[in-house]
Amino acid sequence: MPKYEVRHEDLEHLVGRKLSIDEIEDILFDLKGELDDYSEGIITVDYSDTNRPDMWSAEGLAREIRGYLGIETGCPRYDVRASDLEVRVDPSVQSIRPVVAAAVVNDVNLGVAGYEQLIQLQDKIMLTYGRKRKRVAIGTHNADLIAFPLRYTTAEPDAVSFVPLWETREMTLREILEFTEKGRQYSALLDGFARYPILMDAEDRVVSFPPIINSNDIGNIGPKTKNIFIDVTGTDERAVLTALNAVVAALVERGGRVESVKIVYPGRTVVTPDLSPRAFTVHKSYVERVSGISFGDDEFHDVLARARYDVSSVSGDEWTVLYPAYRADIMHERDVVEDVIIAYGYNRVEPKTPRFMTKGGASEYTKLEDAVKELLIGTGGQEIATFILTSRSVLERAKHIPVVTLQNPMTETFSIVRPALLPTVLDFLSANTGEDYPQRVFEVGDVVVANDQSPTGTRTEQHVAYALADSSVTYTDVRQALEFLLDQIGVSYELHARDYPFYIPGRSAEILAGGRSIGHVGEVHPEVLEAFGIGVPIAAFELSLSQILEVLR
Amino acid sequence: MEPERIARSLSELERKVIRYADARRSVSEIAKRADLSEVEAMRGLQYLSNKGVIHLVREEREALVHTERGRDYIHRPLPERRILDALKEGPKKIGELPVTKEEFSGVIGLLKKQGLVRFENGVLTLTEKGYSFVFPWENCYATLDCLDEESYKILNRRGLVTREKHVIWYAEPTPLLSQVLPHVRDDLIDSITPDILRSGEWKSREFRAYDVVSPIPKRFYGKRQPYYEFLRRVKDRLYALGFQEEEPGEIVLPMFWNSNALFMPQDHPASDIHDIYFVSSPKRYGALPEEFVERVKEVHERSWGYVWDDEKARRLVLRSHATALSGLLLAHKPKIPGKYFTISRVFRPDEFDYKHLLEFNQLDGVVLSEDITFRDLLGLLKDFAREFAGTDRVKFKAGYFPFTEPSVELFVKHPEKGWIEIGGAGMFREELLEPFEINVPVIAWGLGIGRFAMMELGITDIREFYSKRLGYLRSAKKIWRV
Repeated sequence: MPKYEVRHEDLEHLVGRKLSIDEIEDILFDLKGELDDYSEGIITVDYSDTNRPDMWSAEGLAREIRGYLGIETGCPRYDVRASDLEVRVDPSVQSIRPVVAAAVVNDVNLGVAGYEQLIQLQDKIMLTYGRKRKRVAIGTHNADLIAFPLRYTTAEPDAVSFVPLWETREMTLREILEFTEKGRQYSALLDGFARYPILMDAEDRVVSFPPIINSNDIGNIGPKTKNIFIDVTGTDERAVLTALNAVVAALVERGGRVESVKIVYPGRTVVTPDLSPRAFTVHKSYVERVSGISFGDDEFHDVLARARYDVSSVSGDEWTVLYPAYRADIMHERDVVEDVIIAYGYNRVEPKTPRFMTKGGASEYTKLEDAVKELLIGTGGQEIATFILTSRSVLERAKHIPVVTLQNPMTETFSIVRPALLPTVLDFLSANTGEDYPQRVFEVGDVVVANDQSPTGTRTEQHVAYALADSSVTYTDVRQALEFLLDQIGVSYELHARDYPFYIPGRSAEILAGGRSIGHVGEVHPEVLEAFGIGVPIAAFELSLSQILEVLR
Repeated sequence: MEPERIARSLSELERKVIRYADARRSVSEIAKRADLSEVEAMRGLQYLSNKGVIHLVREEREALVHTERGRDYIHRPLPERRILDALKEGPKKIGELPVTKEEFSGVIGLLKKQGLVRFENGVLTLTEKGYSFVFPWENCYATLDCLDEESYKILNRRGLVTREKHVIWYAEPTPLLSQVLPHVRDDLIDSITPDILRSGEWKSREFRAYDVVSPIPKRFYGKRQPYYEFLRRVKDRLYALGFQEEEPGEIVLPMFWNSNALFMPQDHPASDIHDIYFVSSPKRYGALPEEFVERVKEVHERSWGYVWDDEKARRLVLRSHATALSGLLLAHKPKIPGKYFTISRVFRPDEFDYKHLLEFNQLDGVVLSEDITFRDLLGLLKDFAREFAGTDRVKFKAGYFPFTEPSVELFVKHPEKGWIEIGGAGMFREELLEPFEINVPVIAWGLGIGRFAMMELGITDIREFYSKRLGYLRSAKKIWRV
């Protein structure tokens, strides 16, 4: 969910009319955005679509609003003047960061607002759409200071040095990775490479060190910079081209005139940016079938135009539409459907209720769970709920062995998926030693146990654990509750004397049914009680409801 | 209560003490007279006081008492007396006196000061005055009832006597007592025993009345956990709306089932280490259904334009959204038309505070049918708003989810909070449905039940869902009006 800031005044200027903040809030709501905050003339927009980088700046937002309000409709057209400017790509980038695209935009009136937007747009694109610069990194430079042709090549870490953006001294590539903030932040992207990507101009000056940082001399643009050179590098050609188009289109909104750049790869040449509209064929009947809305031809024309599509030809049901080149999110006719409904108005669509009837009901498991809870409440048990994630310490104190541990826990307290319920139930009781006894509690919930048969090596089961804590507690009392439960749900079972680390030796049994082990019952070992700081005896049982369901099946 | 009914409600204990409560008496005195322990008498009197028959009055008094050492001399003479008496037989050396060294050093100063003895060359001789002298405290030492202040000071300094605060309880009759007393009877049946029932004795005797209204200690019986009870009620409503609940799913899933099968590309931002829990053990990766994976891979590479990495697809994670279970449902040939839902725990690395949990329940579902459209989706959401938020005032907002298009967010008007988002939904993309070989439209939806639950349970800290406080669980109100 990219969040970005725009100036209220600037947005009005770009849209071409006054807009009250309430009006903006309503428009944003309809355009997949949300007004997150408004203070001192700054609007914070929360925009939900992660595949529309063209919408993450005031310029793109204004362009869309103009369409929505009918001020300017249809597919935006861009003039791109062909030039002889070149970026020559060295084969050595192939294995590191193979793709590059570039453009020059002249006569831009950035001003402070436009400058802020350009910097913000680059950052947002690199972070989200660019997958933290891995997929896409963008550099903007003062075009007047660059001597063409450029070379996109690689260099050894200590072979080249330049003054990185916002620094005052020359540094080698290695030093930049080590000593600058951006270097440290993104150095992992270059881990394991013997050479680093580098963009040099015709006078052998470094323009930028992608995806890390620009040159301070050439890369430092400001509100007054008129002619801007943009380079985009990355690993995914489609994403790189889309990002370039989004930035260029935004600069055109500030009065810029676009000049293309030839990207000369070994064996092929690509001219970027390509801002010519893309053609796509949609079937009107499909749009109607998915949306449930019938459109007259004129109306369909109109909604497409307000969604910033042109209609290039119509042949029966087939509508060939043109859409702007900064959009890479149109993968399927379905994507046009949503744009059409947005232009039509989500809240103008008349909801209807599906005609078919279905019979609703609980899962087999829920039916059993419900019966189990009712029976245990009948024994006087209070139901409790604890977290599925637990800690090594809780399991150790309860003498249970971890099965699933997390690679990236936020905290030790929640770092292991519980393999049984008894530990978290004991942890609950240890938090309540000041409450009135007797404490008769039970929990029903998910656990993850080891399982050799499953492709994940684990199996999620539903268990129930029941515990009675009081100044005097007997094994018989809890066993009575257990047998009451099993008898009532119709399980034939046997108890076999068996010792468990967490029960007192000689005072616990395994519960068997249908040839499998479905649980255990016993008196909790004083060592466990002591570890949990519980000063009264506890008798308990734990059953696998998943196993019981299989036995009953 | 009427005096007669009070009389009839008296327990045996109360009847024993009430006779001696006709005048102001201390509890210990009543106990003595009724031949009860003080604790028993007090209990009986407390019941009587609850019934308004007597007042219990607490008085604090300072009394002289012997110290532990002082108690020694209640039944045998004080050291000073023993020395004086012994010297009447003639002068004696210190060692010959019938007192300990400690006792001697405690009183020798006193004896000399009064001029009762002379001490020369280690020999003690009685003076004239000493023959007939009696200390003022000697006669009342045992009872301490006539001790003058000077004597108290001396004995206190010697560690024999001290002052102590005493609480004395008095029972004072109220005007009601005299009305109750004439009705007190000893021939009432107290507890009914099988013997009394068998013999028919109850036919000829009257029953003692109970105090049926005074406060009694609270007792806690079993009941459901409030948050889980809320979830159960939510399920009930979904059954009524024709939704079938899915069987519980796996918590540990390969990334393939958690995300990729839902058309989420492998480098999707939500697959990041900051948004999803990776499992460090067990290491074993899932053996994925090859043919199906092939189809998903083909769609991903075509649509997203990246190179599929089989290892990434096999990486084990904790289920991070309930929609993962919708994907697994589609893989298991669901009935068409069909309406399904699940409430499942999902896991995400996050802060742990009043607004965030690291694991929470999501309510997710799908609707599969020929001919369902976006309008049916909105109709369904309206039904949900009516059912779960009790309102027809809804607003739809275009949303974005990687697996649905068109996507929508559902907002309802809350009387205090204004427009609030309560859920998201959309229609599954063809790219997602193709590999599953499902060729009818599928509506996918999710509702933010956490928010409903907080409102319903009246809590502001989301951690209360899993409250560790037994006191809260015992006293939390039962949800029954929902």
